[in-house]
Amino acid sequence: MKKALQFTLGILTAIGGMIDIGNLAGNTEAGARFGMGLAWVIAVGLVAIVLYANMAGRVAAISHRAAFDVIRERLGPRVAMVNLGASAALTLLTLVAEVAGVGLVLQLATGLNYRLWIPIVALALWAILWWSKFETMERSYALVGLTLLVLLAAVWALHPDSGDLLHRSVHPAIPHGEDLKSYFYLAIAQFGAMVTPYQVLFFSSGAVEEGWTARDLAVERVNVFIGFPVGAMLAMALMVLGAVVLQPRGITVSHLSQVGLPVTLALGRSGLWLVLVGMFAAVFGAAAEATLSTAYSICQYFGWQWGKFVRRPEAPRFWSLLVFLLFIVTTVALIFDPIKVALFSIVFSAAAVPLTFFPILVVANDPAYVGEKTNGPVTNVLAVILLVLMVIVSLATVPLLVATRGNG
Amino acid sequence: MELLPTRWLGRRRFAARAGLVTVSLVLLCSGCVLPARSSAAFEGKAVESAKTAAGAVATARLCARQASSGKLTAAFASVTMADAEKDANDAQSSFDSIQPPDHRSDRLRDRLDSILSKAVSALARLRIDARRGHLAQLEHRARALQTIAKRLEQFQQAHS
Repeated sequence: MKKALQFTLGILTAIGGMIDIGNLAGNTEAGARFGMGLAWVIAVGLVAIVLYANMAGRVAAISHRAAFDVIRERLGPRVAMVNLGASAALTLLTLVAEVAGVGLVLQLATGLNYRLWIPIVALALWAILWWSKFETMERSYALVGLTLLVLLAAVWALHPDSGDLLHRSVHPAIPHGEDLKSYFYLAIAQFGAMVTPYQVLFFSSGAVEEGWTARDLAVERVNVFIGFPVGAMLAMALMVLGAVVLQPRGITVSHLSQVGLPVTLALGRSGLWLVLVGMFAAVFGAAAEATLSTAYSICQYFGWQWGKFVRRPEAPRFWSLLVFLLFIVTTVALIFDPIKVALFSIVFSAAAVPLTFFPILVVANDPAYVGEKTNGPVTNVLAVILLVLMVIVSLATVPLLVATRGNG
Repeated sequence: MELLPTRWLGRRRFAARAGLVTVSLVLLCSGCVLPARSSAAFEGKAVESAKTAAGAVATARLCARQASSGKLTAAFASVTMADAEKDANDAQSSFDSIQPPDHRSDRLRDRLDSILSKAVSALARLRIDARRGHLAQLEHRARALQTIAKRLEQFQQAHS
């Protein structure tokens, strides 16, 4: 049983990273507006995240050190500071969206305004981060988050024409009433939602929390090669549901409620409860992941003691930082529209990704950190191609954001 | 005598420009309405508003049908209806705040505004019923939206 549960870090990382509040809205929105025309972005994003998470996990397992610890040492404090600033700011933005997103899920379940839920969510998040063990937290959210497999069941129940979906995926076209700017804006948002820096930072720090060693490389690979494809499959299911149910009706997605409608159409009230439970676990898991990821990165950069496995008196800065982050995030989440914050955060994620991923590529090729397990030539070629793509995406982000006024 | 060294003035100017760019970006991205400079641009914004409202109406119709057949809880239905109403309301108020550039645009504005008002009012009715838990009535009530949806579609086709 213990062995069977060893893949949960990958599942939690992937569900939290790929099916968070931004994805729930963003993937469904992409399907509702462009049908399957952006499916290729999920495929490219999956290759990128698998490749880089695998590198980060390998570095952590062999060197017993998490991403920022190594990045600072290898690239120096100045470059690492730019890296830290970008990823921490972005992850905080994501965290705001996730905390409010949990409130939105609870609003759908209870009818009570999501703002009333935000302080309660933050308190629950604090309690879980404070008291529960890393493994317990990881396994609970990963396993409960798997109720999102109901998305696949909904796709199945709707009997879409799979040949047509495949054709539309490999022959992307811009539908009437849409334009190329919006297409690329949503492509960037999709990519940013798939390849969030905090996923990789969390995965690498989680590997250290779980005490992985070089002997655990097989577990690490299973986590990467099962966890992330599961996340991508769910992301694709959201897109299909948007394409099959919402697009023909001319519905564009601006609220979480619209994400649930295709599932209820297919599976009724039981589908509704399952999707709400799954959304809650995924978004709450993403919030926990983003909070920890930010605290991990800051502590690793400054060389402070960090980790849930460390007793509180021995890592006072890490534990205080968790509380401080949640306080700031709660305040901001009460003010801004969470769906807008989520969409902005995934777009900016695309812009900041090269800053996080480039150092990982460098370290994964350094025998001082990974011994003989440096990247092979195929991995390096693929990783460089994807990094170039990430740089192009990051340069295009702000102009597209302005050109589409953030509405795609 | 120089009160501030030139490099500081340079930095301040840079900071001011950076601030201006940031504020402009935030305003642009937060959905602030920009004025329409020509009737064609105004027509484009009208079509955008009609499209948003049509999406809200379609969401409400889908929700109403499902709620009436027992597929949704009252809480979910009422939140969905409230969201749809908000979208239509936002589309109307954004459109109304745009200054029409000529008389042709005035007529266009009146025509769309009348459809949008009907949409918002019908959606508010549905939201009220959903909040009261009268889910069985929603599909019947949503029939009023059929005509509105058709008019919004015709408007989009005529002006795009």
